[in-house]
Amino acid sequence: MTIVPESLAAHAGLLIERATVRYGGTVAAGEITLDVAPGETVALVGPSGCGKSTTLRAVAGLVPLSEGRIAIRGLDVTRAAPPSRGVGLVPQNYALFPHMSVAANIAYGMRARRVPATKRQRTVDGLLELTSLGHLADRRPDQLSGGQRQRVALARALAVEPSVLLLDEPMAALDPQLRGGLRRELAELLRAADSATLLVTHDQREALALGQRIAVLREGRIVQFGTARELWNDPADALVADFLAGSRLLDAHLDGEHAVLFDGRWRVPLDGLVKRTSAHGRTRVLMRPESLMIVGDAPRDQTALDAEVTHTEFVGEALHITLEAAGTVLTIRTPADVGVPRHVRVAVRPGHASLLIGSPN
Amino acid sequence: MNRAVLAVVLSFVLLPILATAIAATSVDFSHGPWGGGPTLDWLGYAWVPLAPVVARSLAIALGVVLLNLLLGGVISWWVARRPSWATFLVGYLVNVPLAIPGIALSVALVGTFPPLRPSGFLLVMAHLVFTLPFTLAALVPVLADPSLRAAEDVARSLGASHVRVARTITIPACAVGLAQAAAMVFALSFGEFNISFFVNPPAAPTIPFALFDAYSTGRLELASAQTIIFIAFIVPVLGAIVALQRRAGRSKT
Amino acid sequence: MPTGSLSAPRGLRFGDVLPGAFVLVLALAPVLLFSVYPVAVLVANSFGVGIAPASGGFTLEHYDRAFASKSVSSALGNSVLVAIGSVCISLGLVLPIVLRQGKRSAARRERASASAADTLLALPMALPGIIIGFFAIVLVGRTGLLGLIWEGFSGFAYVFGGMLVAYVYFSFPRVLGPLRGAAAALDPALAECARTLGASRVRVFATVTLPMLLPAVIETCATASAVALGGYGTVATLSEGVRLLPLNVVNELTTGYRLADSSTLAVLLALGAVAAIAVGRLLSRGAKWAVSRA
Repeated sequence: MTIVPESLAAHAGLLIERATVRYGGTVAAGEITLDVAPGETVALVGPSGCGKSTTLRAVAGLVPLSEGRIAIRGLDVTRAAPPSRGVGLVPQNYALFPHMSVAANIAYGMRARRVPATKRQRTVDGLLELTSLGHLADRRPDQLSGGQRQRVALARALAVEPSVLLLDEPMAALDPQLRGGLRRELAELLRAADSATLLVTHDQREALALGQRIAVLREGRIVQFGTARELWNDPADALVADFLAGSRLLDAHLDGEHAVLFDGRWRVPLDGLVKRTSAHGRTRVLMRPESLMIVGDAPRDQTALDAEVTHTEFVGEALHITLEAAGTVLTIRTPADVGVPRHVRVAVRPGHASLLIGSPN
Repeated sequence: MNRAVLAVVLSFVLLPILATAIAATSVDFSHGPWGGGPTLDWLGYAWVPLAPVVARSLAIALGVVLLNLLLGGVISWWVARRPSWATFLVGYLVNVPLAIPGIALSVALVGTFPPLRPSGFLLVMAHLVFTLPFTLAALVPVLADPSLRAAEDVARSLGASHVRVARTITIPACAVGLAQAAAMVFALSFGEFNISFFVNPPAAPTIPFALFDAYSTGRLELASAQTIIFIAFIVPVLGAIVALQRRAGRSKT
Repeated sequence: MPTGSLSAPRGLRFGDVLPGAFVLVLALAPVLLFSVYPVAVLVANSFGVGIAPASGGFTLEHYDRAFASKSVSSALGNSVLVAIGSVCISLGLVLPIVLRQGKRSAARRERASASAADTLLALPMALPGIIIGFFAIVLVGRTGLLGLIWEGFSGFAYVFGGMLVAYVYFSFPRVLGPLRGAAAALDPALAECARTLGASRVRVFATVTLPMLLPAVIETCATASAVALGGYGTVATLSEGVRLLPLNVVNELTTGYRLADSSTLAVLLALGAVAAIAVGRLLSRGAKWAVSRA
C-alpha cells in the first residue's frame, strides 16, 4: 500500500502524495497519500469535517495544496489549473447548469474543449443511452428527479473522458428509500467507465458497496487505507472498526489457551476465535454484533462476562441489544423471540469473533 | 485584474473624500492642498452654526426610525402573514416613492399640503413614506420565513401566550432585520435632500440644506468642513449597516 | 377543553378582526395620504384640475408648453444620457468586483479588510446627491484639486463629461448592491464544475455566470437608471453647468410658483423613471426566458 516516490511518473491513474491543505491556520487535510488505479474506485470515508471533501477539491484543483503533490496519469498536476487536469467532477448537489438542457449539460465540457460537433453529438447520444436518459435530452434540470440529475451530472463528467472521476457524496441529495437501487445503478456505470474514481461519502455502506479500496479519514488524516475486506477484517483502530462494521476492537493478551480481555476479567477460549495476523501491532479481539451470545446457565467462570443491558432495539428479524460491561459498550444481535433480563452473562459465539494477532515490533 | 478594478473603484470613492478633508483643513485651498498651511479653524467655524442643525436632523431621523418600526412593523406583519390581493396592492403602493423621483414627489407634496410645511410635519411624513419601503424589504422576508412560523407554532403549543411568543420568538428573530432597517432608515433620513426640497420648513433647515446653502454661498473651505462633519456622522451608521448585513448573510448560510 | 379550538383554524371573529383592522388602517394611512394621494394630485395639477393655483380647469396647455420648450427637451436628452451612461459605466466597474467576491476563498481570507472595503463601497449610497456634486467642485471645479495637476481638469465639473462622472459616483453603489446579492445567490459549485470540465475563466463567465446573472443585471441597471434620472441633488450643486430635467422642475416652482407647469415636468420625469423600471422588469423576464431556451 505504501507508495514509492519513484512510482509517481509511472502511475497510470491518480496519485496523491503527502498532500496538505491549510485554511488559514487549520489543517483541513494533512499528508494525504493514496493512489487510484484506472478503472478502480477508491472511497474516502469519515465523519463530516474529516477532510474528505477538501481532498477531493484539491484533486480537482479548486483548493491549493500547501505541501505535497498530485499526479494524474503520471503527470504532476499540483499547480495545474482545473481545466487542464483531466478530471470529471460530480459535486454534491450535482450543480447542473439550470439554464441548459440535459444534452447541453452533457456536451458542456466537450464544447469547452472544442470537440467537433459530429463527435460531440455521438458522445452525447452514447452517454444518454448509457445513463438511460435519451427521452429526457431536451428537458431542463428542474424537470428531473434526483436520480436523473445524478445520472446527468455523471454523464457530463464522463463526456470529457476524464482520467480521474471525482464524486462528492453522490447519494446525499437523494431520498433514502431510493439510495439502494441507485447505488447499484451507479456501481454499474462506474464499472463501465475506465477512469480512476475517487468517491467521497460519509456512509459506510456506500463505501463498502462502491469502493474497491477504502480510505478512512479522521481529523484531516488517513487512518487506514486498504481493500474493503482488509478494513473489515483487520481495522487499524477502534474508529475504523466502529465506523465501517459497527464492531468493537478490544485489547487482549494471550495466556495459554485463552485470550485475556478487560484486565483479566474475561478469558475467552482460543479455540472459539478465528485467528488472523494483524498488520497493526497490538493483539486485539474484534467483536461484531453477531460475535456474542447471551448465556443464561453458563458456569460461573471467567469465560463469560457479567453485563448490564442498557438498551434493546427491535429491528424486525432480530434484537439489537446494547450492553455495558467493564466500562465498555458492546452490542449483540440475538433472535427476536428471546426475553432479555436486565443483567445477563455474555460469551463469545464460537467461530464468530476474530483474534487479531499483532506482530511484535 | 479584478483586484485592480476593486482598487480603482475604492480610490474613486475615497479620492473626493480625501480632497474634501484636505480643503477643510487648508487655510486657503485656492493655493493648492494645505495652501497657507494646515488648520482646524474651518472645522471649528463650521461646527458652531451647524450644531443645532445636526441636532434637528438627528431628532428628525430618530423620529422617522421610530415611526418606521411602528408602522412598518404592523404593515410588514400583515403583508407577510395575511397574503391576499389587498397585501399585493399595498406592496405596490408602499413602493411608489421608490419609483417616483424624489423631486417630483416633493412638488406633489407641497402642491397638495402647503399648510403642513412650516411645522415640519410634512417633512417627517415625506421621510416616512420614502423610507418605509426599505423597512418592509428588511422585515417582510424574515416574518414570512416558514421556519420562524414553525418556531412560533411550537412555542404556542408549549403554552406560551401570544405576547410571550412575540417577545421571545418573533422579535428576536427579527432583531437583525429590525436593526438593519433602523440604520438604513436613519442614514436615508439624515441625508435626504430631494423629497425634502420643497417640504422642509424654510426657517428650520436640516443638515443637507445647510450644506446646500454653504455650497452656493460659502467659501469652499467652510463648505468642505461642513461636508466632513456630515460624513463623520454618517460613516458609523454605514459601518453598522455593513456589519449587520454580513451577520445576516452568515446566519443564512 | 372543546376539541374545535385545538385544530381548527381560528375563524374571523368580529371582536378579533376589528382592532387589528383599525391598527392596520392607521399604519397604512400615511402611505395613502402622503404618497399615493399627492401623486394623484400631481397628475391632476398638470392637467389644471388639481389644487390651487393649478385648478383653473382641464387643459393640455402645460404639456404643450413642455413639449415645445427647447430647454425642456435638451434637459431631458441630457438627463437620459447621463442616467443611462452613468449606469453603464458603473456596471463595467461593478461586474469585476461582484465576480471577485463570488469566489469563496477570497471572502474567507480578508474579513476585516473586506468589511472596511464594503463600508467604503456603500458610502456613496448614503451621501446626498448635493455632496457628490460638491465633490466634483472640490476635485474638478474651477479651483479644484486635480486642476493643479492638469489644467484641463479645471471646470470639468461643469461640462457633460464631469456630470457623467459625478453620476457614476451616484449610481455605482445602486448597481453594486443588488448585483452583489444576485451573485451571492449563485451556487459557486456551478462555476467550479464548469472549470473542471475544461472551460476557461472567460468561457465560464460567458456561458454560466453571465447568463444566470443577466436578468438581475438588466433589472438592476434599469432601476438604477430610473434613480439617476430623477436624482436632483448632484445637478443642484452643479446647476451652472449642464442642465438636467430635475432643474427645470424646480425652476418652475422657485421662479414664480407655476405649480401646474412644475407638476407637468414632474409627471414627465416620473413617467420616465417608471417607464425605465417597467421596461427593465419586462426585459429581465424576457432574458430569463431567453436564457432558459438557449
